[in-house]
Amino acid sequence: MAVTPSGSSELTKPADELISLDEKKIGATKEQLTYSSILGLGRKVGLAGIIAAFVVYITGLITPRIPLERVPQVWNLSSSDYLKAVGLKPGWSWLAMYRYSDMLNFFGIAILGIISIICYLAIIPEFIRKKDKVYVAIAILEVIVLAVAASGIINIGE
Amino acid sequence: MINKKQYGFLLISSLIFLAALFASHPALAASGNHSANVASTTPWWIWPLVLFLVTFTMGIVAIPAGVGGGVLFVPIVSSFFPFNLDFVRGAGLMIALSGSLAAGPGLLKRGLADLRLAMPVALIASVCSILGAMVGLAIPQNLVQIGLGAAILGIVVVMLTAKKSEYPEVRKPDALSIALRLSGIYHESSTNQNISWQIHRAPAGFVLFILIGFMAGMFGLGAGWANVPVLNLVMGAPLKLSVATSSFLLSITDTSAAWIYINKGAILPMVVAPSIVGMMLGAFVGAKVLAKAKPSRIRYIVITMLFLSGLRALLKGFGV
Repeated sequence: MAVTPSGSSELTKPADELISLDEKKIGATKEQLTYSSILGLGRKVGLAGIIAAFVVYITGLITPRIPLERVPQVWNLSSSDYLKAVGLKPGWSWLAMYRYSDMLNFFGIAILGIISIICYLAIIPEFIRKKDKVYVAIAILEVIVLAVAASGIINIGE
Repeated sequence: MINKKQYGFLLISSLIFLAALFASHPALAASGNHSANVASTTPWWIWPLVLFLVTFTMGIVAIPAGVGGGVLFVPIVSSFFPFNLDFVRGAGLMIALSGSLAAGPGLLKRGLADLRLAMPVALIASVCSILGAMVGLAIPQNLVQIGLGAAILGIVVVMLTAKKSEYPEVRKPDALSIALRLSGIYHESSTNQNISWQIHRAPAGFVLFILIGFMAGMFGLGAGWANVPVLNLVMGAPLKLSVATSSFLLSITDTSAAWIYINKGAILPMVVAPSIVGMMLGAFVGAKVLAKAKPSRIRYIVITMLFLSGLRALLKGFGV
């Protein structure tokens, strides 16, 4: 570990003007800044969506798919039994039920789940520009892993 | 030093926590069908309210104790609330994910979290967290409870014994970390110095992230408690960089596992939404408490809470 005195002004420079020190760079890289800004936006939209949908849900402004009074009768069931008890299908079935307030909650949750995929897709061009083949491969693999997880094609036995 | 007013605040928070747990007392002693009966006779709105108060208190103590929300949420809520463990683990992952998303962008922007260090580790951990989630949702719940109890007790041991090294000495980076160019410089604002870092024992660290990812997915715990020691003590990353990178890393690891829970129907909005809001508001207060309170005291309270809930999970798993 090497410690170098520094003025804090160095860190306020944009990514393109990163300072070279011992052939390394101080502060966030361009791809890091890209990732950060998309992640920050997704976080705001997703969390706001979850809170807004929950307020709509518990105030009864929109009818839920599963009545609020029924939820305590099924939340002790395993997820498989819960789906059977309330007549829901696993996966993305909530998407078609956007008219119900409880299903609206899943939109915010899904945004939080998808945002990392978008972040990775956004930084791949930067790694390609830098000809960083290993990190291009890592980013593509991560997108595939997250997309497979999100797709619902992974079927879990009882 | 903490003053009387702040002690009062902490005391009130603890009382809220206890009151909330006592409010859920019928369920505390309940399991299986009895739990369902108790739950069905209680007005539905009581539960999200109690959950909000409990997670708010957890959020307050989590930051000064240096643990993530998920690791507190899963053992405590699965022990004292009537929700099935599937929904608790699903919510635990969403809490850990939300906490990570709250901190991640700022840490990346300031260069404290390192994307280059996080990416290979995240790939390994996210694949294994998917496998962990699949196994955790497929095997009998008493086995998951036993595993959860053992894992929580293990975390207690890690919290009590693990040392931290602010700036570990890395004399020679290993071949893998050189190939991946896992090194850099970050600015330490507290001392106004630029800290140069590099990594050693990357293969060993990567192997450990297989286990960390698997456990995160299986138990819905998040994984900050394990990420930081591995990054810091095994791989030699400076402590601040390890904490920040771990915090960001969770947004990827927990996302992959969370999708398995979402697609399996293990996400209940009634559990997830009040928990996320409670934990985030609590964390906001906790960050202020951190500036004044003695973290070691809060840390021991949290360790005790974890020990008791870990023990309870273990006993539940054995049917005691």
